[in-house]
Amino acid sequence: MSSSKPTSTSQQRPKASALPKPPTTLDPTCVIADSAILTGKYPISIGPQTVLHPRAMIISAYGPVTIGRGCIISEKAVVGIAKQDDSGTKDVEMTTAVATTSTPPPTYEIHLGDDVVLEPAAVVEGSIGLGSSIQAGARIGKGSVVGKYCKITPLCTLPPGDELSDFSIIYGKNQRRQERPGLERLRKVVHDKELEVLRTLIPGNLAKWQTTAASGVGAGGAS
Amino acid sequence: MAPKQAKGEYIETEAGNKVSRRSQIHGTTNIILGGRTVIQAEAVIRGDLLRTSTSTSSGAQQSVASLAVQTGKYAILSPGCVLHPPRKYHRGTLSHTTQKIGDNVYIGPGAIIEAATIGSNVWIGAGAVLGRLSFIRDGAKVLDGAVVPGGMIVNSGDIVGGRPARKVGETGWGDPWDGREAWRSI
Repeated sequence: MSSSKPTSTSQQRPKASALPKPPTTLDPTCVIADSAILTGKYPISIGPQTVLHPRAMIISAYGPVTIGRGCIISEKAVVGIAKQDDSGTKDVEMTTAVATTSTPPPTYEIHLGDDVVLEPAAVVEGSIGLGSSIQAGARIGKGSVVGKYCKITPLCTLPPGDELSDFSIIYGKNQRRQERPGLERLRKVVHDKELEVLRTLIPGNLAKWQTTAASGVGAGGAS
Repeated sequence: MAPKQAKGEYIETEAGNKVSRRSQIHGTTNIILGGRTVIQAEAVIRGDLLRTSTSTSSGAQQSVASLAVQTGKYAILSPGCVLHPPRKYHRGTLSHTTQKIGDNVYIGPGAIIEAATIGSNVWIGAGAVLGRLSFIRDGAKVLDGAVVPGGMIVNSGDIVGGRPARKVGETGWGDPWDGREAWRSI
């Protein structure tokens, strides 16, 4: 329904309208749904063939966000740090006039590797390695690092500043175990098919978020 | 949206469906609401994830190709829940399947539904996650915060809970939850 867009952005996500549009480097082959949200002041770069579902959200308020090739970010998933801490200083830091404090707030760089899958309502405030999947409602804490081919099952959390080695699985009540490698190639096949299907299903709207077209293309070519 | 006047939160359709103005519905043409269904604020329904029928041999399936989500009567979708038709990988093709939801179903706030089928008289608690292609049969109950793994089949009348969800009891058939009152009260 076309009417859902303007009302919901004002109701649920006031931050989105309050924050400036970020400088973006978008690959021409990535798909960003019309109602996905990119916000913040640090640069956001999105690699080729990545798909952002409607209502996916990328926030670069506290550091640059880099998303690799062929990622899938589902609806209600959030990449980035929405608020620095819970002490209520959020609004002060959100505005650009931060010069009152002597030390600038620390920046957190967020990097998503290639073929990362974020399922609905996943929250990622750290970095994710190649081929990992963050399932529904899972949460990756601030500054933590997830290795390659990891799996965070639904509603599990990785605490801030933690590190997860390659082929790890977090399941149940945040228990961890290792998976034996060997299935990556098969998963990649299915993943590529899914990307292909999603590209046909989700109408992209790159122009809405493309800023600084000339410099963006140049940076994209260099990386 | 032209007239400026105080409006209720819900749009009521001819069939008695009450759809919140703040719900986030994508692909409306591929969704069938069975009547007297309530969709509350911030509920996300992904009607745009259609079956991509690449198989030309199955002519019978072509007719249902344009349906992503189907609900029965008195389905209550609470605030913030997500209906996401599951994808399946079969014989080298990947496609989304139609998500079917029965009559008299309650879906709690913040629940994430990727189940293939939900039967009638089902209660799904707040924040529950139903994994991809799971089946919830008639009269079952999924407790708050349960994680039903992908492909799991919850049998008729079972109560499941925990992470991952296990059977913790049976509902019994005495007093099923009644969606009618919830529909009336909204």
